[in-house]
Amino acid sequence: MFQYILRRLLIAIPILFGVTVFNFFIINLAPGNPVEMFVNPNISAEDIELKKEALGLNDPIYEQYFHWLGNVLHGDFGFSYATHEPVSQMILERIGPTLLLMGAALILAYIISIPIGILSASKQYSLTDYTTTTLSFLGISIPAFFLGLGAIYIFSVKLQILPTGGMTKLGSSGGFGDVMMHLILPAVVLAAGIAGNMVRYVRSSMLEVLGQDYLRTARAKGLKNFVVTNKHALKNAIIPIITIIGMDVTILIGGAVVTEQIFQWPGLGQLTIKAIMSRDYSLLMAINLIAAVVVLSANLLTDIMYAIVDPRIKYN
Amino acid sequence: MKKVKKLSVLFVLLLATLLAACSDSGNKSSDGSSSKTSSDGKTLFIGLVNPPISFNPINSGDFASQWLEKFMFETFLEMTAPLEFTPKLAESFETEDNQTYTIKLQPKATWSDGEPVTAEDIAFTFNLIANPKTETSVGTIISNLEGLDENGKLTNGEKEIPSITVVDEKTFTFKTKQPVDPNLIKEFIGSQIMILPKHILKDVAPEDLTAHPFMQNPNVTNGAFKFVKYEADQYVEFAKNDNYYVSKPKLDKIFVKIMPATNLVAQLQTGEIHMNAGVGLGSIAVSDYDTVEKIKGIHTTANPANGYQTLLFNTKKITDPNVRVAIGHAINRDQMIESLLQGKGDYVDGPYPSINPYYDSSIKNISYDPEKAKEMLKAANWDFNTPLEIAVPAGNKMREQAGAIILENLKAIGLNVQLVTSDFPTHIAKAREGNYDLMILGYTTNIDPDITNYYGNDSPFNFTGYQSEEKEKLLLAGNNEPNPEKRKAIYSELQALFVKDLPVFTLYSEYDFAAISDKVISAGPTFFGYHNNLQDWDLSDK
Repeated sequence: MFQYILRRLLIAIPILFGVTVFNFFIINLAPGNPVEMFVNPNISAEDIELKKEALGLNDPIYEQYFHWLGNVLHGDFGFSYATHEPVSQMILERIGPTLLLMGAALILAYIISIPIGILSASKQYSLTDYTTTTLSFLGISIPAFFLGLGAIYIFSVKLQILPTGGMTKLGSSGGFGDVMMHLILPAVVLAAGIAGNMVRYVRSSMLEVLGQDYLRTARAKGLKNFVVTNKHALKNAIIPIITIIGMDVTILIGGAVVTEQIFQWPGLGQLTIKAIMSRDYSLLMAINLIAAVVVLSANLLTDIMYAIVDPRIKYN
Repeated sequence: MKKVKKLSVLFVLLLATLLAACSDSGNKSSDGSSSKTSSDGKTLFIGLVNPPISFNPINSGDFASQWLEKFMFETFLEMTAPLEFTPKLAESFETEDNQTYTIKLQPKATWSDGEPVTAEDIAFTFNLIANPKTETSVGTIISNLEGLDENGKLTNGEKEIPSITVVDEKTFTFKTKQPVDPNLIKEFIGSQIMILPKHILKDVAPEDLTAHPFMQNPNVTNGAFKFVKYEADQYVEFAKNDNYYVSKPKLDKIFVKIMPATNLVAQLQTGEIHMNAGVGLGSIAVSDYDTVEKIKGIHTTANPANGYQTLLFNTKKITDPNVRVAIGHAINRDQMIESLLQGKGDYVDGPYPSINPYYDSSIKNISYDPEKAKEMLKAANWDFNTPLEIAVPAGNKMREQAGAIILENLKAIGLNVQLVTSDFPTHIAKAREGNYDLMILGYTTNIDPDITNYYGNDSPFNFTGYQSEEKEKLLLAGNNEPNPEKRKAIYSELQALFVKDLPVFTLYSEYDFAAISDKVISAGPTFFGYHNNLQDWDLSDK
């Protein structure tokens, strides 16, 4: 197992390298550059040129890449092209809120979806099954921005029980309760999409397992239906679900972007949009690198979880 | 299964730690103090849509940054209405010959650390802007000064602008290359230049200034409010400057909250913000006007503004002015203003919106006349099969819908057109490269009619590629003419030329829609004079 993890970690290095090369050139291929975002006509042509020179944008792309890579290997992600703040500081400030939102959304999604999925499968073709399937379908299909705006309208504007956005009440001292209140709406909206998807996976995975011979045998032996479903069946149904958890992390990185925008949640998603819109190359590269690391780690963790849940799976 | 349980417990614990860490970071502010006390004082909340890029008053390429800087940095004058100026940091701003200008600073003006604001600070800032090594966005503003090139830079390795003089601690003079209209100087140098504290920044190398920590945390300023904190893309926090030379501000704090346009309305309804930023930076969607007007405790105003949306023609591809005018005749602007803007807008032809004192209303607008458009195109031998792309920037819903209207209008007269929408950086890149046929773009101009920066033959912002000797002659003459009446005649000629050559076709000038809580006193989004009386801004208890 240890060797397997080590091998996977070593393979990750060339993958990450490839990702950075690919990203760097793709980003540079996109029309527009950080300097062009200065649309104030009081800026003279000479000043635009001065900024380009200062940012090294006049160097050949490969030189810019190696310059960037050299700095990163020394632990320096550079400065934002737009604001001149250190990129690592900008990302560190944002990563906590994003993890909090994603974590809360994931936990919420699983708490809701796993029992519902099991229920739905064990009562296949019943009214409960149809209702949960329809609801989960709605969860997947309603766009996050629509759900988000609707939630703001109902819970913030009409009922006035939850804040419309942000992470803390401005001018107050913040605190646990305050953050929780601000977390509810974005976490629920983000969780809705994941839960919708998850219910369908749990349901189909359970259905497949429930039809197996050994479960029929278990029932024939007189075991209670509850035990059969929740112990014997669930344990085997959980393996494909773990794959989905791994995938959800990657989906979340994208999904959180929209939700963070709507709720002004100060996370990485919001920062990413801003970096893209201002063609802030150094910031974008750092975010991409982190996203790649998260995806690779999520995949590795998924594989490890596999081995933990199912002793038949061995990595040699 | 047990291991899975253990893992989930670990995950929850991790989450809880994270939550605690996050809520802790919410307390910090730049001066280390807790912001808890602010709930005791009077705090105003303003909603802003565009996040600022930096707080460098001499190097801000975006309007949001400049607008925010004005809460903490004073300009010499404030423009309270088109070409009307009121003194701010300058007690007086005078000239006798339209060439040598004297600025006398407010005798009591100090920096927030107690140091006096002096003429030395002005000279320091001007020399910094003119230094070829300094990155700046205000270079062209001082390019009229004697001794500087057309970019506002010193040449031949000089370190100081020869035409500026520090007369005494509070008096400063500068000289322009030739006599110019004082309004031009008052609008640009007077109401756009913000000065930097020499005693803080004098040892910083000009090339290092942009990245200097002061520009992210300007902790020594001279305005009514002091910078407290910028939580990126969340809010900017200002606190009152007790030593403000005019009087102690009545508000204790101002939070400018950054949010998507859709949330402005919700936060006005919930009372989380007292007003929107207006001036194009906190615009409320037309579809929400009705909702906002009905909110209890909120009053609204819609005023003509200085910005407009135009259809740019790539004059290198559509070379015949008659074709451009024909396309103008085919576009139904009434429909844009009536249905899209619900009547809250104007349309004007040429480069000046109707509130500009230099706007010549006698110049005939290009009317909506599709039949005439067809005839003109036929007369110009236009090949109706020529494919034309209309480039539209994404993000502004109204502008996108205006694009759709134009598409339908042009299809209706038989043109082979299609719409291409792209994100703003791509759109601007297309504009700069001249890689388009027709393009929608928004402009916010100055009141001064000099538009050399936008439309000069060699200007980097002359996206249409419009080249004309006559235009250059008029632009130069207008800039060099000190007499406002004579200038008006010159710029009328320029407007007539623009309607004839039509490098740009103005679609509409949208009113600035402001929503203000009834609690707000002496403040509110106004297109002119927004920051004029910050010290009087107040909130009532009702």
